[in-house]
Amino acid sequence: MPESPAPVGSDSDGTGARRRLIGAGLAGLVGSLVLAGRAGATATPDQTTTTAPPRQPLDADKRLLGAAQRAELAAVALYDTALAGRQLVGDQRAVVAGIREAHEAYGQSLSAILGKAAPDIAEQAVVDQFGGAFGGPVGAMLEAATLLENVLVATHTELVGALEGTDGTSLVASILVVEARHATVLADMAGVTDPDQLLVNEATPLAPTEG
Amino acid sequence: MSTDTPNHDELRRHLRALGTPGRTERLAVRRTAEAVMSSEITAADRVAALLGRRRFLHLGGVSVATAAVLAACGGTDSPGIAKIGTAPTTTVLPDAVVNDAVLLRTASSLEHTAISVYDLVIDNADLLDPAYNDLAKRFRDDHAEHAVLMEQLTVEAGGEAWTCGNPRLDELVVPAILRAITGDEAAGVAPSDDPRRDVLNVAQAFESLAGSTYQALMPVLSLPSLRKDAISVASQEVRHAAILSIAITGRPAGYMHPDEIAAATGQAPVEIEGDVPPVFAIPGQFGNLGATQLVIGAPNELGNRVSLNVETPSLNSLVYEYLGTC
Repeated sequence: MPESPAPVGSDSDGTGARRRLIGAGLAGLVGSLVLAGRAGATATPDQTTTTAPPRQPLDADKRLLGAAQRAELAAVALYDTALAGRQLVGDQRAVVAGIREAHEAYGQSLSAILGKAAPDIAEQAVVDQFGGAFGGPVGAMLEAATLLENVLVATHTELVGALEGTDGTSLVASILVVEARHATVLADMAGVTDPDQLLVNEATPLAPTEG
Repeated sequence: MSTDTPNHDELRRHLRALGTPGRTERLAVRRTAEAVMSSEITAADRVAALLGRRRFLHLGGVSVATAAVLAACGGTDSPGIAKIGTAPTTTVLPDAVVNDAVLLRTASSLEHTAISVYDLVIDNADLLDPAYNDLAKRFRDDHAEHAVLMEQLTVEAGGEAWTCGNPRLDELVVPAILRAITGDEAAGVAPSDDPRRDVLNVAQAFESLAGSTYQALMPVLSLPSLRKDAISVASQEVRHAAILSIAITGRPAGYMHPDEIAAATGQAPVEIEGDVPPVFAIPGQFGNLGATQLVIGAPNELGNRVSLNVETPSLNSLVYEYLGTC
């Protein structure tokens, strides 16, 4: 009994497709490959696919978060310098001490998310850049502290634009919105009244360095 | 051997006389029931199964009545379960997808709500101390810039820009705030004893809300570049909040929450007094995503003022794409 042609769509075992492919020759092979490739892509205009961003930091993220931790620990060292002197007194000293504690908390939080990858050391270039002013008179210290906070805000903002993992992004974001407040308070303490100086951040972000 | 029990043949005859179906009848009933209940057949098949000549003769008049009832129930050719009555029609809910465009539309909606609140109080000496007019104008202009940015990003994300206030805030929260400050005679709400204080607190709450909202977008926006734009805006809006906090609470008390100072210095925390909670430029070590408490209005007979929790947008306050444009 002659074999009847397989009905369309019935060749789930692939035998029908194999026979048709042989019959169709090279042109059929090319056509099948093209169609198979298109079917593999599966994207139709109304079927948008999205990929959820990762939560945990990627390796590249860890390098950036490590740089952020070094910057935060540099801030702790600088505020320690300011508090070690006698120039800050009363409420100013209390507020600066509170800001110092916040930076320490940021360093610890970044350490927690980085685990063994945390550098746990201060960024010496930042300490060197601001150290003189932080050890100087109150006015210069407050101006330098305002600039430092703005530098950190700018640095972390760049970081948010580069990080892939959302856990790290959320942490850095929760840090930088308070550092912006630090900058405004320190500027107000320094006697700044110009809204542009209080509101606009023109500081240059730090370049990430390897730990 | 004598017995009182009739033999089997006699018993069968008695039962047949009483109308009890025999084996043949029982088999016919079973075949018909199987045919009728099968989900594979149509209503026409059911009628044929019930009204087949032999089965009709076997089953008699009762089966005819049953067939008529079942045939009436199976009025269509659908193999589904028959139903009685008419179900009310339902309206399909719109597709409420939360994507980047929706989040950015929500962000621009908050900016427009803030703009409208500032527009209400600027140059109104009853509501805003004229000393803060220029600052309020500056803040409003910043929000206008942020709104434009969010609208541009919405379009780039494939959505339609939202150029109005947040519907939920505009319908529920802002009217309640205004009623508490300016009073509502019909509702028995007295005007605030200090509208200028309340307006500054409202502005501070909205600025904090805006900052928290952008911060809350960090884990849900899909692209790092969008997150960067959002947090850049947040960092300016929290500065607005900080300036307003210092203006409201004063220097140095308004700089930092007393608990933070106490933790840093080891001093005993300062008791916070007054029925209107003070606000602080640095309320905590990390950005807050919780609700901002707003206490405004005149105290009632018990001494309580209106207390509102201003919260970051959630599923009921997002500006979904199905809302279209405004």
